[in-house]
Amino acid sequence: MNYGFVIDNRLCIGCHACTVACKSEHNVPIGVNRTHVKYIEGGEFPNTFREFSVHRCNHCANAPCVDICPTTALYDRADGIVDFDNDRCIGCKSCMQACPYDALYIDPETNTAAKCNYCAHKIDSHYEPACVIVCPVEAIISGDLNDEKSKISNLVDQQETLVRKPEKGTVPNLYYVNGSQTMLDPNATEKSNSYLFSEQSTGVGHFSEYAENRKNKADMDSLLVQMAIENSSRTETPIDERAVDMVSKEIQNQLNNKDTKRIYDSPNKGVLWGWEVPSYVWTKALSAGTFFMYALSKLLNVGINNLIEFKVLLFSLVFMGLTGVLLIMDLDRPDRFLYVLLRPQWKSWLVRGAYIITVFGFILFLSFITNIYGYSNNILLYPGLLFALLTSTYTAFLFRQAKARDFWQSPWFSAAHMFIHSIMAGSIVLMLLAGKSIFFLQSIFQLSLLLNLLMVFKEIIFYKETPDNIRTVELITRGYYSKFFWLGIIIGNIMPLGILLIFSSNWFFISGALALIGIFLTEFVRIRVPQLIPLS
Amino acid sequence: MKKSWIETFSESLGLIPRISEEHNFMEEFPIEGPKELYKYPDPSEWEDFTELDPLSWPKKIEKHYSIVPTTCFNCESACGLLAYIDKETNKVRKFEGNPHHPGSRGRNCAKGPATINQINDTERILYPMKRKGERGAGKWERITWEQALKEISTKIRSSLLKRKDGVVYHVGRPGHEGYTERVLKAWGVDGHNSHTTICSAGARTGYALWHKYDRPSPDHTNAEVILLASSHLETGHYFNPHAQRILEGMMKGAKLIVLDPRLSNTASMADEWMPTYPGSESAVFMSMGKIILEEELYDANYLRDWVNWEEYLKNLHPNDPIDFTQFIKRLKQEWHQYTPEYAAKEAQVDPEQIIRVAKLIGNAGSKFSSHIWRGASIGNLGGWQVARALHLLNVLTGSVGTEGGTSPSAWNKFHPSFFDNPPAQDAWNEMIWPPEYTMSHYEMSQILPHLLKDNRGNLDVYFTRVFNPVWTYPDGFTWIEMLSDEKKIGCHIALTPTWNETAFFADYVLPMGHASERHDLNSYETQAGVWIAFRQPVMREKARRDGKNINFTYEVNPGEVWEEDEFWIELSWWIDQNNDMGIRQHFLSPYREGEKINIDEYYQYIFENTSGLSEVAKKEGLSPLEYMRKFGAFLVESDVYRKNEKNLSKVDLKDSIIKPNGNIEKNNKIIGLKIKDQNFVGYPTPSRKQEIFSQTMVDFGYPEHSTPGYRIKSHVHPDNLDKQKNEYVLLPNFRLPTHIHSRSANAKWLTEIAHRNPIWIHPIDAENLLLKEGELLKIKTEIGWFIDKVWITEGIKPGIVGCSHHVGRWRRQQDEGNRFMTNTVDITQINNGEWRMRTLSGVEPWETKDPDTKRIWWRDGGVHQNITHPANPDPISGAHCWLQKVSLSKPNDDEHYGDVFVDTNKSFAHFKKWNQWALDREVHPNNLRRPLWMGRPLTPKIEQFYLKKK
Repeated sequence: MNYGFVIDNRLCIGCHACTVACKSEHNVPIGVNRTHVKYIEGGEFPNTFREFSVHRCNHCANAPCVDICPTTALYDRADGIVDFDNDRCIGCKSCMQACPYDALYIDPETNTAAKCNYCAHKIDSHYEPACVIVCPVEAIISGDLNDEKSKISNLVDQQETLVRKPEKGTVPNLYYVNGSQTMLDPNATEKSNSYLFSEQSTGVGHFSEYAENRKNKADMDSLLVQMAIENSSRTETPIDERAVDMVSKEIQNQLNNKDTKRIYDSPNKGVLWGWEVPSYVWTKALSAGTFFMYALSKLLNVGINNLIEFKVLLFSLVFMGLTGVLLIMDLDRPDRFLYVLLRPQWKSWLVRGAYIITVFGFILFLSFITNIYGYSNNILLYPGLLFALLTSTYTAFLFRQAKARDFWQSPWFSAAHMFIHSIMAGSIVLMLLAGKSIFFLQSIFQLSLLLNLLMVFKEIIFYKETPDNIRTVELITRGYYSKFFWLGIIIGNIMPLGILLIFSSNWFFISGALALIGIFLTEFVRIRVPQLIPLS
Repeated sequence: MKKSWIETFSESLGLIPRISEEHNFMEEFPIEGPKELYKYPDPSEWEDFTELDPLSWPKKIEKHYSIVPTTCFNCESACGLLAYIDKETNKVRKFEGNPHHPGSRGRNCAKGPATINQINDTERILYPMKRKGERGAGKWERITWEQALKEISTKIRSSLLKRKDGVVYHVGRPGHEGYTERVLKAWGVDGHNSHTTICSAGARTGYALWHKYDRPSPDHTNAEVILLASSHLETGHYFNPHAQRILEGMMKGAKLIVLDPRLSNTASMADEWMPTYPGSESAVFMSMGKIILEEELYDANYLRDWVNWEEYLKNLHPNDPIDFTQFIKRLKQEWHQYTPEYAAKEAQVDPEQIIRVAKLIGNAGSKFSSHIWRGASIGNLGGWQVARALHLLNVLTGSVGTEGGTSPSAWNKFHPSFFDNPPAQDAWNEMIWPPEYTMSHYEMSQILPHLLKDNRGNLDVYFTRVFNPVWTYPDGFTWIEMLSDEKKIGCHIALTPTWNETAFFADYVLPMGHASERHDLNSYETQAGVWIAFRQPVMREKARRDGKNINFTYEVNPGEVWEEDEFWIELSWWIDQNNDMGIRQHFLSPYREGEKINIDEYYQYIFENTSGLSEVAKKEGLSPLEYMRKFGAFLVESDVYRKNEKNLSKVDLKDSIIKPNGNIEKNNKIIGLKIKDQNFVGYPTPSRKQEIFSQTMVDFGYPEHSTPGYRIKSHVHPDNLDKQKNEYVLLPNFRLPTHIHSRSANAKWLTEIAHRNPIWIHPIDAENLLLKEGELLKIKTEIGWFIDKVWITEGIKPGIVGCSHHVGRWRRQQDEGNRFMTNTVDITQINNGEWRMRTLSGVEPWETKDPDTKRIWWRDGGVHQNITHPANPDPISGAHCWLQKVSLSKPNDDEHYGDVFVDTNKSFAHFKKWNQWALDREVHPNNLRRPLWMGRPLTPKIEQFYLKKK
């Protein structure tokens, strides 16, 4: 069995019946959709065209959402359906970073991920999905792609079909008959603030709390928290031009230059990994880096005083604790954070990472205890070094599992970059804790600053030229977020280097502090901007 | 999934909750059923259907449903619905399609499943309300139904005792077959008012002039060429049934031609999109007619037998021989001006396209289906010409009533037999049927407030039902003025399930059921067949299945929501409380002597008298009523074609004379036609033929329109616009695929998809006006203005701007309802007749028991444009000519998005100007108010058709 869909665009009239029938079947809340119909329009009058495309879960044979899900909340059924169990979901949103089709959302009722599940509850009693039976023109065809006699197989065999983003290797089971690249390519048309008969907003799904808060004239704290909803959304004037994001405004400026316009789309879900994720990458780098540099210095015996071990361990523990807190804060179901460890899906780097962090934290804790009771010795330093290294770099592999984001698809390079960040931070923290400049650390610090600069430039100059990457780099270097990016380069790399060169290495505390800010800014931009690239 | 040992261990330690693991999804399921999936549960399972609960999924929780069929009420199509009633909660869980419905065949548009939103609307009206304070003040008190019935019946009684035109029932969406007409007849009033003149009057007039039938019923499924001067792949009735069949036709190879100045979704599906200039469509069709004639692609046999060409020659060319070839020659002469180049110039399209399409149509022959309902025919002065010219193409190709052609509507519509037929009313209400509009189709409803203002009369009791003129109609402020004036309208009763802008100005607001909370009989011409469907209150049927005895639908409806059918019976009983007005006798049970009829008996009688239903029901072991309750629909007749070729019966032929020309005459009337030894009944026109020549037009003072043509130029024709003054045409009446006129603001899933109505403008025009996407534009009509945002698109013809229907709903601060889509506005009368509406806030989230209300993420509720339109009554068809002449400019600094201004003094003057055009040409041959043969809803006694001599 291999259930799939054919959307027959010779028939689809863009009536939205499927959207509403699906909402009715599954009680899908306002603001989110398991299926929707995108409209695009192009050409010049009177040769104008309009095209409709039904977008939903592709029930991939190689579903990246299943691979990344830490708790098997998403899973493949033997009949080809990619289903989910919201009792298992922790709301980490990694599936939404993994799915190249933008098929998942956070249900504001349960704060867990959801998507089209092919009406599996109907399938199990041999009934077709709700969208299929409502369709006035029978443009949605369901059935077994493995059964060569089925209507769906005949269509796939006999008609020319398209799938979305085949290059992602997901092997989608949703085929478009008479589809066009323009309707299926997210970069061919742009999302904008308002459409033909609707608006656009991010106060949906994961952000629906924002829509609720708007009831009480928007509380500023939550606005700061939800950076996806930028300046213009704060206005209290009744009918405002709410932006999805500043970036979308920029994109809108490019809009008039494009021949084809997106004229209806479902609401934008916004940036799902907000400030918590770059922050956790940062605290993790500090914690792991500090321990790593301490252990290395100690083993190499390069002028580190044993007396600061207590401070080092305390610092690393505190920052590891902060890392944990941030990780939990990012969950839409923080109450279920233990599921990552206790309902593990081993392929997920979220799980692997959680175990790495746990082991690293345990080593730190043991070291700390032995330090307090005066049993310090070097045995824990060896596993500590290994797990500090893993702790600082595993996130690169998690990002790689986020298949939707092209920019995150070079894990080894990215891991190296994270490691550089980590040892840079570690050197600084160690010197700060020691209260003095130490040559070895100073050298590592300066070297990592240089390497970091090179790596950043490599990342924005020599990258795999996919359309998404080209845009990401453009947004990083020239868009709204470029100020953070360039600020990161200047105050995080150039100024620290300059200060040390012009003044003396004793200014390390200033240049070090600047470099720490720089690390955050660089991670912030690298994590945030790719999430702004539309997936559908 | 298989749980890991860690998980099992942690669960057993109680570290994490135990999650059930009902089955292993990694295993293949045994295939029990057929390979292909089922679409719908079998009716044998409807009384207890088990389905797994999607909300608990993947836990396999069984839900038990009682499935009851009913019909949708979110447009006129009445597509079939199945209500899934959860047996545990005894509430409707969802609506799906009814596979037994011959029109919709189990499928629905977005509006069908959204019915559940309307049922569960947290703001719906649950109790009868009576106003406190001034009319329109927005203060209400809850009253009992008894008080409502008592007070209203008293008012009606006293009116009926004085006059037969003081009570008016004004309906927006009827949704039934003749129910209320029968009630009004029983009351003896000429009190039926409808919405046709803002909707279909133009098309109706055009079609009626040909063959009395006022509506097309295209057989798209079997057509080779389909022409739509409408957008039936996205809106309008019969959207879903027609769209299915249009696409079916197209998949078999049919070509689709769409005329629309705007790229509708329908136009985007077309093989030939003709973005014709509004009003020029008749020129285009006439030109195509000319090409078909010259290329000899016409059906000569059909024309010879079925078109009144002899009258054409006799009247227009009295010296000509009565000869068919002579007729063709004369036609060619008459149409010589309609060259493709001329039509192309009028329409601003490519002449080659006109030629290409004409040949397509000509070659399709009898397999040419066409449709126009609103569109150009309601948009323009003389819009009725468009339908008349379009039908000409069907006549020329011989595709009237053929397989794959276009039939008259009435052939595909069921006419119920009632248990009691009251006599026609002996009255003519001139507030509904003003004498100067002799051929209007039908009631001149859009000028009702203007006639009141003009002191032509008043109304004692005025019912509005699923009718919202304050918002939907042009010149809403004049409606507000008249509805607020108790001297003009003595009592206003709004029958509605949901608050609306008109109900704000009522004395009584009486809650009536939504689709699944009421009874109606439906039958519509969606295909080449005749069907009936039963809209039934599903909870009543559920109660019956549970063995409960329900006497009135309100017993199972939420709150104190009634249904109209029962309301009319009760009200009629109250009116005639002393049984001395002759009303009660029309509400007596046909089954229980002397007793008041109940609603089951009403439908029982109709179904028992529906041809073929008893037999089919019997096979199922059911009575006709039981059958309809169970299946919800019945196909009365299929493959209905060429009904004009029905043979006259011997009774018909008795005492008739057959004339040498084949006319079969009886009592000086033609009753049929003898063609090739057959006695055909023909069409219901005076000639029994398709009337290419209309004596009626001549008689009623429009001899220049005796034949189809393009003679009246639209009020928005380029000649009537001043480009220097930035004058444009506003196309204000196109609809969106998810909305229901002004009835969907209570459906959250529909409003979520569509909630704004920007001004569509072509990039060239935007550039001329220095406008960028999303900027504000001031649109000045002839009586006021409104401020809207622009939407720049290649999807609209340059020189034309568009603004969709449905959006721009409002409530004042004191009003309730429809918050998914209403702006909060302030309405002020600055000076006498100068009204200003200002948006105080857009759509906002709010807290209710439905968590979705606080998740509303859109703010833009659009702008109310219709209220700035003047009423433009077409002197011939009576249609409100929707297109507006507007001038465009950038707003001043103090003018904001959503601002509206109207001067009702100007709108009254505007009405007088247009009204004068009708008065100037008013002719009453033999004192006739209106042609006797033309249709008129609630036809009064024949004497009433004649003006009383003064």
